[in-house]
Amino acid sequence: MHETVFYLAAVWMAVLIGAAVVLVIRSRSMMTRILALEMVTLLLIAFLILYADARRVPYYLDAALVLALLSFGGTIAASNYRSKGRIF
Amino acid sequence: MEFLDWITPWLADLFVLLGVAVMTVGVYGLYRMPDLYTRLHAASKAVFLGAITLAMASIVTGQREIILRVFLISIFLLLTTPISSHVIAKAEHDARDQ
Repeated sequence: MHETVFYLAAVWMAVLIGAAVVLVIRSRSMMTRILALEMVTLLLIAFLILYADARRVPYYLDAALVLALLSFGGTIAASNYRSKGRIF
Repeated sequence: MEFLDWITPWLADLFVLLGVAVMTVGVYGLYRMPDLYTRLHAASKAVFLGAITLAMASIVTGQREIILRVFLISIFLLLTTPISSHVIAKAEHDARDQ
C-alpha cells in the first residue's frame, strides 16, 4: 500500500518534468532556459529516487548521482559562456 | 519497537507528500515569477525542502544500498545547488552590464 504513494509521486514528477520542459522551450531569455533545464534535472533526480524507493532497487540511484554531477557541470559551463564568452 | 515499525511508513508518506508539494510550488514559481532573479529564488528553494525531503523518505526502505546512495546524492545537491544558483545570477548580472 505504501509503495502506491511512491508510484503516484513518481507519476506526478513526470507531469512536472513535462511542465518544466515546456518552460525550457517557450522561455525567451537564455538564462531562464538554463535555470529551467536545471530544474528538469532536479525533477528527474527526484523521479529516480522515488522510483528506486518504490521498487526497492538501488541501481536507479547511480543514474541520479551521475545526473546531478553532469547538471552541475553543464550549468557552470553554460553560465560562463553567457557571461565571459568562453566555457572556462 | 513495534510502534516505530508502525509509524515509519506513514512518516515516509508524509515526507513524500511534503516534497511533492514543494516541488510543485517550485515549478509553479518558475512560471509565475516575472524575471530571472525571482525565478532563481523559487527554484533553489525546491531543492532543499523538495528533493532532500523526498530523499529522507527513502529511509523506509531499510536497505543500506539505497540509504547510502541517497545520502550521497543529498550531500552533493546541498553542496552544488547554491553554487549553480550563484553562477546563474552572476552570469545574468554580467551579461546585462555589457
